[in-house]
Amino acid sequence: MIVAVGIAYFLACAAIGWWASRRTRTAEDFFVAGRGIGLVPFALAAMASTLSGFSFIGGPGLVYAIGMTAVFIILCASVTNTMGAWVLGKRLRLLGEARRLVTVPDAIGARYRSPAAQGLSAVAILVGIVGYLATNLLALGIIVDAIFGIGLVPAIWVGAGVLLAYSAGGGILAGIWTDVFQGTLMAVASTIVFVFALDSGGGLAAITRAVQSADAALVGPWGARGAMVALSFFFVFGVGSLGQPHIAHKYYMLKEPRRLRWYPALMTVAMILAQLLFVGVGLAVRAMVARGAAPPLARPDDATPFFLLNHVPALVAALVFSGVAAAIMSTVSSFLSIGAAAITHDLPKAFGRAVPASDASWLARGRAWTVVLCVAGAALAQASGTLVAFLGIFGYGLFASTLVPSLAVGLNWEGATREGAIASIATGLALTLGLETAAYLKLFSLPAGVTVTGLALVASLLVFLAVSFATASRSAAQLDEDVRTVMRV
Amino acid sequence: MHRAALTLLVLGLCAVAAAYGATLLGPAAPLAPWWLAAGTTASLAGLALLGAARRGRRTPTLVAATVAAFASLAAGFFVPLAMPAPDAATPLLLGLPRPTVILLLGAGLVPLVLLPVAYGVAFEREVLSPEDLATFRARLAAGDARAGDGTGA
Repeated sequence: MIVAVGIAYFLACAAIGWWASRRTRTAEDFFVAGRGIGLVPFALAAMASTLSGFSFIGGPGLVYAIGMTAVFIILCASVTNTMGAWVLGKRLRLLGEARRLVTVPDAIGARYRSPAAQGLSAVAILVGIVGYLATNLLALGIIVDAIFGIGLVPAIWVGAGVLLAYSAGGGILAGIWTDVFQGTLMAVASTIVFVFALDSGGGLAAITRAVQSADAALVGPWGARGAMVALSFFFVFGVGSLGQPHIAHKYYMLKEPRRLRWYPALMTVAMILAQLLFVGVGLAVRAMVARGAAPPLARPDDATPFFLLNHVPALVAALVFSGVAAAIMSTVSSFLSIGAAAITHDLPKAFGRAVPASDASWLARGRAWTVVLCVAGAALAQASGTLVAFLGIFGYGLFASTLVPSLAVGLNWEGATREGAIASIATGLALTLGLETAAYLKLFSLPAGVTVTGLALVASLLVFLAVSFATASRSAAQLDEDVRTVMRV
Repeated sequence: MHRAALTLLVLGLCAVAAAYGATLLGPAAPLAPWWLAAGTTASLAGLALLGAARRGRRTPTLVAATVAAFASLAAGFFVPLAMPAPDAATPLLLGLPRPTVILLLGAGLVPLVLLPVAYGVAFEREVLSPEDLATFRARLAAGDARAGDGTGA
């Protein structure tokens, strides 16, 4: 059953890719879906890209291990679902229309009239993407291997092959429509499994009492790791969500800016459904172990596979395994698209070689770089586990510390300056890469609750504000009239 | 309002930095979670107010929603911080210990419902009306025309 559903799922993705590739004729189609996406596909695609395999495997495992502390990773969605549209959505969508922008670094370059800021942010995105691609392709390989049993290395390449079948041909247009399919699958699968999780544990109160008998802190407000770690998760994932390029990039694709109106509400409903599994499975399996109804797990990440293989019907398990693959693939396809755009568009522009959107060779180069990035990511995914894990750690933090100041603050404050943007991006890059590498090499360790991402995010924001205030006299001269119009609408 | 939003953001970031600094100096810093809760709330509220601000225009619904949502967020953090840690004898509410429910309602459910509804309701008046969009597009077109004539930037 699982194999049959898995094959059907991959065939559906390939079919959507084939359909989209026939409709991809220009670089604008390839990188921003022709700026013609409606509200529902937009919200579902944003949800699917936000969630990666972590939401289905790593997240429930973390809830199993540290209880409520892990819930803070998704709890901040209570404000971030809306703040994305509120802080970034309108400005990015209108700026994209005014300047025909294609990438997030484009917006930074336009806002500060600075090829250097655009190039530096493109470098930050590329560095972050390398890690994300490797970790997600490794996770995809693990899921493909679990479904088909073909071994990890062949599974990585099968997964990468299916991804390429739609990403290289149809670009972000294919990515959006496979995201719609994948996002729907994720929400449905997550909801069904949540019901099974509650039922298998005898209801929430029974699950809570069973978990409390093992460790009462797990279901306390801060979980097993305490308030500092929990609140640090909320800060990092809450503020950091405003700097994730694969989400911000999607605002360019919305057909009409006024369709943003109900986007936060729709996104909220979709996210709640898709995240039910994150909390439900982790707590239910922990309760089973506490009652002696299940053996302790060898690894926390086994929580979801254990629950699916032992406590839900085969068809539901098959749907969820496909949902996990969907979550990973939707994220990877977004990163392939923005990575190819950074290489073929942002970096040349930073060096004074802007490529017009009408350039036919740009589409061909976009497709070629999508293939190169995917193959490189798959090759890296075969490297040692610790290296891949290291690369994956700093992706989110790097995006947050380099992009939040210049985007989330800079697009809403006319006093922000080019000098502030460049200083904050450089600070985020240097601190994240330097401290994460030093921590990887065990040169130092941080106490619980303090993370490199948190430190780099606070530092880059403060540097951005301080340098902008110090160079405030230059801010007015750095704003083009159309950008000022966008910021005042 | 930009000034108030930026002040809140700076104060919030300083509070987060103080929490991290206190923890780095001594992991048992008892006030660090309070600083982090205050800083996280203020930083996010500052960013939300910055996003809601429009030069020369009032955005009362968005501001009120921001104040209410982030007051709820602060209560969701501070009340459980002030309560004793629940144990197996703590009464349950809705299937969870009371401090956990207070946290999930204050920091989760209230802003989760309030913010998107306020954004949708206020959109016409305070975010982007059809007139706003038409004016924006007319200004862009005028700018393009001036640039085409060689008379504009």
